[in-house]
Amino acid sequence: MKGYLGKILFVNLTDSSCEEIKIPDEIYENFLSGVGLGAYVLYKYMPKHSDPLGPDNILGFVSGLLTGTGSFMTGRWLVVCKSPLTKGFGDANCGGTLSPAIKQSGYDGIFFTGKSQKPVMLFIDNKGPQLLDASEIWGSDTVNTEEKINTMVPHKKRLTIATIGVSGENQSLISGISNDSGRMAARSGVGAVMGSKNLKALVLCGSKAIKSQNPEATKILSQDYAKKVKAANLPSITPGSILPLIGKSMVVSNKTIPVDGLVSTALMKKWGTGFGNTMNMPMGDAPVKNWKGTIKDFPFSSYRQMNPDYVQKYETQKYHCYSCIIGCGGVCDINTLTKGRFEKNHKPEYETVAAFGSLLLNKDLSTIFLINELLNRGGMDSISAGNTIAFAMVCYEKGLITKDTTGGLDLSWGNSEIIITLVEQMIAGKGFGTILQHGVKKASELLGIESSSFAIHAGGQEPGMHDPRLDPILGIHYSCDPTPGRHTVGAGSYYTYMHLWDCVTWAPKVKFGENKNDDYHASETVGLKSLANACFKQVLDGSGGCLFAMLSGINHFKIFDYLNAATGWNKTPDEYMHIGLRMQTLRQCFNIREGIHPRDFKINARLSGTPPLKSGNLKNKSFDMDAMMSIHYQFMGWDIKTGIPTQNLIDNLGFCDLEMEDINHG
Amino acid sequence: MANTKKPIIDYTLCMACGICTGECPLSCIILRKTDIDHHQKAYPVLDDYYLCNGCSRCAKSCPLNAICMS
Repeated sequence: MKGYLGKILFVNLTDSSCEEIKIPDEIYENFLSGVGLGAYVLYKYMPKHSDPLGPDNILGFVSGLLTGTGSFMTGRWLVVCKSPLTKGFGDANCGGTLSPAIKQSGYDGIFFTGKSQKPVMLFIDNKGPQLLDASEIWGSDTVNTEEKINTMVPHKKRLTIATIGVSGENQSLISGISNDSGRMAARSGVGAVMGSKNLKALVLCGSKAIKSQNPEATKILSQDYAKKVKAANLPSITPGSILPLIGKSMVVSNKTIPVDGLVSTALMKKWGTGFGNTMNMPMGDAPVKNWKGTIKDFPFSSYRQMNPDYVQKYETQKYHCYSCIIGCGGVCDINTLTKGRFEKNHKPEYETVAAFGSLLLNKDLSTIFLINELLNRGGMDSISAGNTIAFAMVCYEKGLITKDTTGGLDLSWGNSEIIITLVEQMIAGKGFGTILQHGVKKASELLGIESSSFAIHAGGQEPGMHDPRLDPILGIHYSCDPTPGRHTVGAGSYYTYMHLWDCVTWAPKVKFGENKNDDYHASETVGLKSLANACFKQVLDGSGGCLFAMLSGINHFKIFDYLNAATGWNKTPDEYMHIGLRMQTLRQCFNIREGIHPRDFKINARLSGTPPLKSGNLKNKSFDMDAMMSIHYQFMGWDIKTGIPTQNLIDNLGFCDLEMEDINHG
Repeated sequence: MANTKKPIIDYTLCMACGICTGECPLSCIILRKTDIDHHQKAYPVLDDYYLCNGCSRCAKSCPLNAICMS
């Protein structure tokens, strides 16, 4: 009755055996569920130095602790494994409907080890788990796979399906796992791990009850939050054309203006993440031309095509993930746009629009709709794919590769038709796509090009479409997180929206009129902010919480109260942040055990302004990334030079039954 | 089945979160109705009246008490 089920399922694909494992209460109290439970299982059960694409790697699908307890915005599922992209801890998360379905199957997490001889899918209903032959659907895209499974597997309740596309089958290192017809848990190369196990799909159909300790208290919290979200609206006539102006006004002054997080909720309700398509351009947040360009290279006449109102023209209905009251997603009619190739798709997110728009100087929105659908069906990460094509375009521009290398493709900037061809080749693993299908780092290695100055990644993971030169704390998380390159971990702007200082005693308050330039220096305040971001994100990912709920502010999205209502633990926010620190430290310890040197995750120097940009809002903006990493390590309690968690911290945190002495402090 | 109570949804309260659709063991309730607000959100509807066995899990799961059985 504490919001979790207290057991996980372990499936050995080598011998087709299934085993239920009980998880003691103290594990949830120390690591929550979601990514924390996933990290605990990986650390405990995975042999050291396992090949990420070998049978010893463990792939886990884990639900959030709050999922199904009556809380809003807590329906995200987490997938964990050792990442073939970074060779360290790997995770990705996604909304949709899979997270409650995992719990309704009777488990907090479903973990796979071994490798099947032939393609299989795991089906779980109220009778229990069974492995089914998936040879018939191997080779199908993510959308068709779901359609076919629905005809193959008898069911009373609607099936909830997680699957890989062709890129995952091909073990592309930038492939993800899809649910709800194209919503992707895309990062860390999790799709490749699933493909390496010959596991095509996870198919869930259970209807077991999820119980919490105090459902009435949860209901009161949800009703209070719902009232605020319902009232958070922009005037319906607000045009998308005003967004660049808003973006510009946000960077006119160097003074911080803390705004209520519900402003972001209102923007999300109206446009989804698409409001960033144009708003982020004059701010300098959206990367241009492989992160080297500025708004001069992609001016208003180019990015105006990305106006979210133009995107909305094709939207036929909003899309909500499970338990979401914002509804940032959308379903679009793309029949005309794709010349009859596809009928509908999920609305392109900002990340995809930027990765295939400004980053490549592509101003053709219709091609982005098509690319979005190709990637969703192929099961490939749009952020990584866009970054990788940008890298290839730089190589082409510099003459390091020619049409002889590319199979005759003209990789000029903004060549939208060729970008489509490249995406298709990357998904299929054909032509020049064989070089690019594994991301920037691998492409650079395969091409044998000295490209350290323009291969943009952090430890192998390509960064999200937000520029640390605008928000240096974002750069800290790109470089210091055990899963590097993530725009979702934290940023100075996120911190301001979250209002953590309202309940976490040590979180520094952002005051009106603070100088934004303060964030460019490795100060105590920056260290505390980045510590708070990192710890809170772990709590969020342990709960199945949504980033966009986090941005509405914890004074509205009362996650700590939700957790107490679900579990009956009665912990303080400070205690939950301490759990977050434990979770983050465990993920870092996993990396150390696997031989990762944390400093190697430092993002490409270009993103900290070395060399600085010569125009645009980010002109001459730079910061010392090494010093920023040091300050983050220091406040995390990790060794300031190496980033390895100190023995003192490990002893202080406590890790239950895990053998932490494996950490190499050399 | 004629006397079985069925869910009635109060759309002035519903926020289209989909918790009820995830809870229904027979998937009788689905998200489809889009004429409630200008956001074109898909709200839940009882899609299969006769399949619904009146278990009331949808009503009990709704955080906003937007579903009653009648």
